[in-house]
Amino acid sequence: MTTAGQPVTGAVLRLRWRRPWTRQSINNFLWGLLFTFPTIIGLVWLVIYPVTASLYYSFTSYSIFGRYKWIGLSNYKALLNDQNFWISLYNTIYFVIFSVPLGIVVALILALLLNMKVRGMAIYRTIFYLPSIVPAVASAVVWSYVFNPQYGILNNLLRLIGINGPGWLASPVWAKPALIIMSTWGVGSLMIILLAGLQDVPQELYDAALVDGATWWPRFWHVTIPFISPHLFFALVTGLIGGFQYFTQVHVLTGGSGGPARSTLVYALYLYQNAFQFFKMGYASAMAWILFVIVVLCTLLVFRNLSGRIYYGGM
Amino acid sequence: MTAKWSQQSLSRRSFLKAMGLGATAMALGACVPATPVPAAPAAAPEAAEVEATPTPGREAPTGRKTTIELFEIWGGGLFDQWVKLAEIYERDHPDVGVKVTFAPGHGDNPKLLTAVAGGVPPDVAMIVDFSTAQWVELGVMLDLTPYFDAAGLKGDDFWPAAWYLMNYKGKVWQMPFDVDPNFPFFWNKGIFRDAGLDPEKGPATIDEVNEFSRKINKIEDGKVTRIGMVPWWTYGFGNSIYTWGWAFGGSFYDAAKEEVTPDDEYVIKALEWMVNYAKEVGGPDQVAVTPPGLQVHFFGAGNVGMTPMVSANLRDVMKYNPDIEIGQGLLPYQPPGEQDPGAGAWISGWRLFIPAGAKNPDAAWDFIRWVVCTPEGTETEWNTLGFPPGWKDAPVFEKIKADPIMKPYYDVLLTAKHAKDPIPVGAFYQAQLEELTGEAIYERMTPAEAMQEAKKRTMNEWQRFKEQQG
Repeated sequence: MTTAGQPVTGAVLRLRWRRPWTRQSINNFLWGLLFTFPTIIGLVWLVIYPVTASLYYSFTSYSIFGRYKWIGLSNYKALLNDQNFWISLYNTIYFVIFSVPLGIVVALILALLLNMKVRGMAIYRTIFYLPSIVPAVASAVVWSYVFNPQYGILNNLLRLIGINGPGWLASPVWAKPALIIMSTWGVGSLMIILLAGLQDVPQELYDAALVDGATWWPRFWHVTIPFISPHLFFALVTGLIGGFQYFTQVHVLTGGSGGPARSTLVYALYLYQNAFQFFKMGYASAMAWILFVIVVLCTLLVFRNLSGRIYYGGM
Repeated sequence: MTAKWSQQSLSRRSFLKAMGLGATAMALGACVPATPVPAAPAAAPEAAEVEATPTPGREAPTGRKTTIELFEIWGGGLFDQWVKLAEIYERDHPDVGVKVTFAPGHGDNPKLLTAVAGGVPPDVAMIVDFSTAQWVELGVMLDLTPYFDAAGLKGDDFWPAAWYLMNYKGKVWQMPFDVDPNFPFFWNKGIFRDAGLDPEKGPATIDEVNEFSRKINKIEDGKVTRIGMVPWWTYGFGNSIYTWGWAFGGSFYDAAKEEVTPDDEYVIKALEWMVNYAKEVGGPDQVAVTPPGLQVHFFGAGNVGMTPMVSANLRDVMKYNPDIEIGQGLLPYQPPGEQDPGAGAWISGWRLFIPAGAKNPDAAWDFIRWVVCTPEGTETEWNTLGFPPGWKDAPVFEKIKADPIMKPYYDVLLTAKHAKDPIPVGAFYQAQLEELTGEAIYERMTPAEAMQEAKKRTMNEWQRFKEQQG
C-alpha cells in the first residue's frame, strides 16, 4: 500500500517482515500467492526449467533424440577450437559495435526533430514509428529489394551521383554494413522513449542558457543530454542485449546459411544451425551460456563505467 | 522545478494509462495473422514460392475409422496439391481420413522434430535424401522392412540411385514419392543466336561451356548483366559442388574406408573451374542478372545462357516467360574424369517415412505404399504434385516419356548413377560443403584448402557422433 508520496519499494517490504505473523498477515500472504500462482507456474515451467535444463545439457552430448552422455567441459573446449564460433562472435560484435550507437544517434535525431513545435507533428510521429512495427520478416524481404545490386533503389541512387555501388548482401565485405543500415528501421520505439524524455526537459534551463548566450550545441550538450541520460543509458543496455541476439533478419536474408562466405554468420544463427540442423543441442546450449556470460559482462561493464554519470534529477 | 502532478494521482492515472495501452497493444498484436516465411531465393530444388496467407492446414473428414496425419513441408500451391491427393485417397479408402498439417522444413524441421521428441509425431512425414542415415541413428524413423517385404516389394522395383538411398544398414527406412533427376541441361536459344552460337547445339563438355560463355558474357560498369552460366547457382553452393564434382568424375564418399572424400582430385578440379569462372567475370558479387523479388528460377529473367533446372522450375519458366526458347540436353561432362554426357547427374528428392512412435503405422504404411508404388497412387501423385515417381514400373512413365517437357528428365532418370551418400552426419557434411565451397568461390580459401577443411571437419564430427551418441 502506498501512502501519499511514498512509492512501493523494498522499504515497505522490509516493513512487512518486522510485523508479527498474525493470522491476518499470513492470510494476506496466501491470497497474494494464490493470485500470483499462474505467473509463477509460467515462470518456472517456461523460463526457469528450460534455462536450467540448457545449463545441464551444455555439459552433455544431448541431441534431443538418441542416446547422450555427460561429457563435462568438452562442448566448451570444442567451441574454443571451432573456427565458426570465433567468426560468428566477430560478426556479432562487429554488428553490435556499429548498429547500437547508430541506432541511438538516429533515434535521438528523429526525437529532436519530432520535439519541434510544427503542425501535423502527430502525423510525422506516426510515420516515423511505423517501420518499427512492420514484422521483421516482411521488412527483411523489402530491404533485400532495396539492396539488390542491379535493380535496387540504393545502387540506383548511388549511380546518380556517379558511384558504382557494391554487391551489398551478395558481397562478403558489404553484407554486414547492409545489415547495419537495415537495423536503423527498428528505432521507432527508442525514438518514442527519447521523445518522452526530451519533453521532460525543463524549459527554464533552456531559457537560462539562451540568456547566458549559449548556442545550440552547448544547449544540447549541457542541458538536453544530462536530462535524457537515463533514457540513453536504457537504450544502450537494451541495445547491447538485443544486438547480441540478432537473428531473424539474417536468417530470412541468407536462408539460414550466414553467407555470403560466412560474413553474416552471427552468433545466434550459428547456435540455431548447431541446435536444429546438426542436432548438436548440447553444443548449442554451451553456446547459449557463453553468450549469456558475455552479455552479462558487457552490461556490468556499462553499468560500472556509466551509471555514475547518469543524471536522475529529471525523473 | 515544479512537479507536474501530485505523486498520488500520478501513480493511479499513469497506471490506468499503462494498462489501457498494454491491453490495446496486446489486442493489436493478436490480430496479426501468422504468415509463413517466404522461401529464400537460392532454396532447395523443390521449394515452391509461398503466398502470404494464413497457415495452411486441413482437417480429416469426420466419421472415419482411422485418421492419419501427414506433415507437409512446402505450403502454398504444393500444400493444396497434397490436399487434393488426400481427398482422392480418402475417396478410394472410405475407412481412412487424412489430416494434412503444414510443417515447413528444408535444412531443418523444427515442428516435425519437436513433435517426435514430444511423443506426438505425425503418422507420415517427409525427409530429404541426405538426412536418412542421421535420423535413423537418432531413432526418429520406423523400420519399414517388415512392411516392405510383406508387400512383396524388391529393390529392383525402384530406380537404382533411389533404392541406394532407401537403404541404410541393410534395412528400408523411407519410400521415394519424388525422384528429382538432377539435372538435364537447358539453354536460352535466343541468347545463343545473339552471341553467334548454334541455337540447336548445347555444350557437350565443360570446356565448351567456357568457350560459349566467353561469347555470351556481358559486363557493364563492372556488373555482369548477361552471363553464360552461373555454376555456383545450381541450387546452392553444396548442390553445385556435388553436381559439377560428379560431372568432372569426382566422388564424395569412400564406403570401404568409411570416409568422406571432398578432397578427391576431380572434385577439387571442379571447384577450381567454378572459382576461375567467377574470377573471369569479375567476382561472384558482381553477378547482377536477376531483378529483386524474382518468383521464377533465375533462368526466367532471360539473362543467363545455360543452366540445369528441376522440372518444377522449368514448368514455371515456360509458363511465366513463354517467349524464352529453351534448348535441352544432358549435363556437360569433363574429360578425363568422365567420358559421357550427363555423367554428373544424380538422384535426389523427397521421401515419405513413418516417425517412430506414430499412432497408426499400419494405416500410414498403406498410405505411403499407395502414393509411392501403386498405379492409381502414382498417377494421382503425378497429376497433383507433378514429381516423377521412384517406382520404376509406374504407368505414368509412359506419359512422362511422351511429354516434351519431361522427356529430358526421363532420360536422366535412366542414366543417373549418383546420389548423396548416406552418412550419420549427412546434414553437417552438406552444410560444410555449402559453406566451404562459398569460401572458395569468394576467394577466401583456395579450392584445395576448402575441400580439405570440409573433410577434416566432417570426419571430426563423425568421430564425435560415434563417441558421444553411438
